[in-house]
Amino acid sequence: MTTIALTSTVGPGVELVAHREQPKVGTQNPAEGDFVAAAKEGDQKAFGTLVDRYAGVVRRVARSILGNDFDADDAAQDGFLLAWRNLDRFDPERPFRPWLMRIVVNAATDLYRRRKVRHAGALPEALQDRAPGPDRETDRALLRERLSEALAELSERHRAAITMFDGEGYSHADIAEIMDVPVGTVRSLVFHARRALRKALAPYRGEST
Amino acid sequence: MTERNSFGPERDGALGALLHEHLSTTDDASFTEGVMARIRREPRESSWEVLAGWAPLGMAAAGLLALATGLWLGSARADRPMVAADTADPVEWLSTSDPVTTEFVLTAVLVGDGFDGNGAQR
Repeated sequence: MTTIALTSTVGPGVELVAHREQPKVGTQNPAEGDFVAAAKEGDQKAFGTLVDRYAGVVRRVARSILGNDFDADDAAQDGFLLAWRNLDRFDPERPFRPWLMRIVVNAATDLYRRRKVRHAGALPEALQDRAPGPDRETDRALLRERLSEALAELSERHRAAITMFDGEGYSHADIAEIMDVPVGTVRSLVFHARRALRKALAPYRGEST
Repeated sequence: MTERNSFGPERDGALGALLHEHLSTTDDASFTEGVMARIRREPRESSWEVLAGWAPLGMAAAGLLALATGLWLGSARADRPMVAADTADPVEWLSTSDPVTTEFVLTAVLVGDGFDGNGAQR
């Protein structure tokens, strides 16, 4: 993984710079290959290194699908546990990360579908008609709330696709492999998710830095 | 979050950073420890260990299948008309046996009467 700086214009004269790790999805880092090989042989410590390495991205993607921390961590743990149990079926010639992500996305999607009824409540009215105000911190809080609401209005597939594409830097092809759908479907999911999020966040453009 | 070709390979850096920040959680170390605690409680079984777990059941099923097949074959044989060789008329016995048995018995008789195993007279 390499750290990159992303610079984007979010409003008139306002640039948002984000530093984050850029995944190399299609390649297997040699050190990672060693950890995977050791874990395949039953080395729990080596698997622990992999868990530590991928905990962040796995939890974010699970959270994007499930919408809350508690369920997301449950799904992420289940995903890691399934990966551990099935490591003997993993082909070491293939990259580990998409294989792991596919397991996690499936675990999170399954949990989401099982608990869908529980989450299908209306949004709190207090959050629905707020407009940005003059206070910067308040606006930032509102932006986060509005993003949370807008994500909740998307399907879990849209949320997973845009999180992996824009949030985590995966390519359309990698997401297609992880979600087991055609590349065209991923492009469509990302397109519609972006359009919905941009529309929802439009009043806050320029306030978020 | 500027408008651009949303079907293209370019990322929306601002939206991505916002999502990344919004979805990030704290304390990955505790999470990792939780995962490892579960792994320690549920050690992985290899494919052979899983197979070995099923072996007694598989052996029992195979034994039952062999027993059932044996019983079925036995009952099928019992239904066939049997003629005792030492009491019945040899002509009748040969006529009621199947062709393979008839050939075998005929050869034995011929060998006994001065023919060799190939049917040639000694």
